[in-house]
Amino acid sequence: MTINKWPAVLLCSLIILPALGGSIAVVLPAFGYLPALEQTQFTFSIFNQLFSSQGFYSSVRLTIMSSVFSILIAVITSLIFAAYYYEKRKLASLSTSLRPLLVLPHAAAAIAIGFVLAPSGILIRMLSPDVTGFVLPPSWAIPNDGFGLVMTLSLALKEIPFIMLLMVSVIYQVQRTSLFNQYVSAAQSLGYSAFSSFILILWPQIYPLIRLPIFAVLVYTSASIEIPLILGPSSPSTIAITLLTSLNDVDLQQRLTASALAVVQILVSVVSIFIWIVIEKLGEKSRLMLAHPNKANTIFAPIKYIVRLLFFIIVGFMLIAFFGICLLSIAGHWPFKSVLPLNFTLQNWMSAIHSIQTPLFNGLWIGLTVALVCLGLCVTTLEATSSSIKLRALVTKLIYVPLLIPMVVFMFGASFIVTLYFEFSPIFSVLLLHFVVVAPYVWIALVQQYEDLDPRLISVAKTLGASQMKVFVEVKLPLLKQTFAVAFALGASISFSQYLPTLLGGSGNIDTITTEAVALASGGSRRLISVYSLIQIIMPMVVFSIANLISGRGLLRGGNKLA
Amino acid sequence: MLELQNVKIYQNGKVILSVNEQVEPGQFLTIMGRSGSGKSTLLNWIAGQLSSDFNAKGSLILNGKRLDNVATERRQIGLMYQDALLFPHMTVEQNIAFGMKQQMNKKQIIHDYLQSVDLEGLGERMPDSLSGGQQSRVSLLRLMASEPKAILLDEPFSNLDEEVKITTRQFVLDQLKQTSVPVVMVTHDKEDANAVSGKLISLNSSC
Repeated sequence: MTINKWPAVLLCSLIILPALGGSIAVVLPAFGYLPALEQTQFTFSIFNQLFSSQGFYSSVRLTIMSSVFSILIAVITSLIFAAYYYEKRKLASLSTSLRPLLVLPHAAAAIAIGFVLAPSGILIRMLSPDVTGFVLPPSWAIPNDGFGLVMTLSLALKEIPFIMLLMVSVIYQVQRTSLFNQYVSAAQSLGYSAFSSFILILWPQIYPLIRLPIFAVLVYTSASIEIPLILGPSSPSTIAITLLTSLNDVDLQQRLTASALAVVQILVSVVSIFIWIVIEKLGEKSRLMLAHPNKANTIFAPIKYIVRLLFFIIVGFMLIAFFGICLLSIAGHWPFKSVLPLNFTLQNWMSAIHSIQTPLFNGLWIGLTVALVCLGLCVTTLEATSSSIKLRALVTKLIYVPLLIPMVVFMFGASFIVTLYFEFSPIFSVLLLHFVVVAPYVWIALVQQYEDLDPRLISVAKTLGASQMKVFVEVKLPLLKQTFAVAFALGASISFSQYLPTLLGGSGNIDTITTEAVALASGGSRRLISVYSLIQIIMPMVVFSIANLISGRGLLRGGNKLA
Repeated sequence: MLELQNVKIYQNGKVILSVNEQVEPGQFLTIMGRSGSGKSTLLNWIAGQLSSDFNAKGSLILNGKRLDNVATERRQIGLMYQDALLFPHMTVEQNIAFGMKQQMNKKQIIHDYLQSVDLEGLGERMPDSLSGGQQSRVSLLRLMASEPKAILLDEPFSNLDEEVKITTRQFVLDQLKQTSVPVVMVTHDKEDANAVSGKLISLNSSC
């Protein structure tokens, strides 16, 4: 059977070339080679200047600590939830309740969390003055504390839904393909509780399947922009933020420093992964030490009691944050101590409406176009690789390449190359850079569901004389309509939330709700910021709702009409 | 007539199965073998669905026409598995109509088909509302409606309860005998093999 490799080649090229090319393009200027600035001598002096700059090592430490600890918190929390709710057979409802948090843009989440934790934020207001005794907002250095604690916790909070959903999908996968339930029964018959059985028997089967995505999340977190920019310390800030500041500097010589910082960012991500591997080994040793029913059950017993509390704290915190910014967006006079505004106004929304039209339109059409192109190319590739498991597996591996390179690094280099070639059309550069970020997630959202479709159904359809197109339109499309709709909505939502690809691809000339929200967050009116954040939250929710409506109400319903 | 001329199926360069047989119209070729013996892989090759993990050599000839390089959908070789595999989003009628060549009076033809197997009035039902035996009958009707020139059966009765199995097997085999097309059946069940007359090949190798 002939395999058409071209869709796979095109998809991988469009993703990998900008990612790898972009990464390479930042290395040369880091060593002093940038002909555009008449720098043609290779030198290590830029690194020397960087290493001796004030706060450099603190910045490296902050970046590594915040990324590693945030992922550690997110993985442990998700593991505890999975082990507890698996036992209660409530994984599906847990996964549903966390799904809305997944599409919450980073910038909106950071702004909402900041509003809860700020000295004049809603949490202190709820507790003052009765509990705290404060009649004025305290002069605490939060949320931008020097240790980056709020930033670390916020990153963890943002990653928990993603890692949790990842675990749930892998648990279902393992359940289908292995003797999952029998292992649990066997462990329980040996005296282990269901919770202990999960940690000791099932986790080693689940973890290898989520390891690569966890590395990707770790790399993403170590180079994330929105949360460190809004909630992180400013002197020093993380490497990615320092890099972005150098990049935006009017002094073009700072481009060389930015390139050196990009190389450092790659090294920092590699070190973070190395530290994570050490943590994995320590975790494995600890797990083996618990391989005794009484010991394991005793140690895990108290955890079960705090799981619900932890779940309600996380969901409660996010709900307070959401309602907090809802209130702030319609707040009139809202002095400290008052939990609720003294009066309400639509003035913030009215003033936002005037300035919001172009960014909203830009964000929507960029997101919807990119999602549609990604869905089209990913589905074409899946169809073209339907008879070659090996080629499809290779694409699935290659698709992780841009997720394993810090985005700020390759975006910087890729935007430089792309804007050079598509100078005439910055919007094309933005679309291409959004594609690089969105396509891997669309592929990941599609591939497992595609492979889970019973191949015998397709064989039967073909032996009944149906062409590949007829099989796709009349069998696969109706059966996978929800998967397609969710992948499209996910792609659009990820595109809506992109800050760097829009900023760098459009050379700062294309505004979206996200770029405006991030720009406002560094000093704009808090009420206006809350309006932008809410629109950021509403956009993916609307797209997901429409996608569910279309896939659920039968607009894509299959079945041939009878004559 | 269906001819399998010097067919060899390879996995990782090693021959896992070789067959050289002819099946006359209205006749059965039964291939028996344990799980993993490669019998389903042979059916996949005949259907044009061989996975890229395998290679095959030899010729597949149906009614004098060589088919081994022809796409599955143009081979006119029907396939039935142990599960009915009705398309779950289509009604019974839509399932039967899926492979029909006949474009005129489809509804009437399907009605007659359903009447002939005592399923009259079930055309608008969804597959999940039918019993296992009813699903098997609809699956067979769907296969017959596509007017195949040869039929492949892959463990067709192994998922049915013992009681339903005997009646369904009798019904399916009676229907197939009337079609006058060559039939290749793979099974591990001796009762299935005994229920049909014709050639029997036993595969003892494992892969």
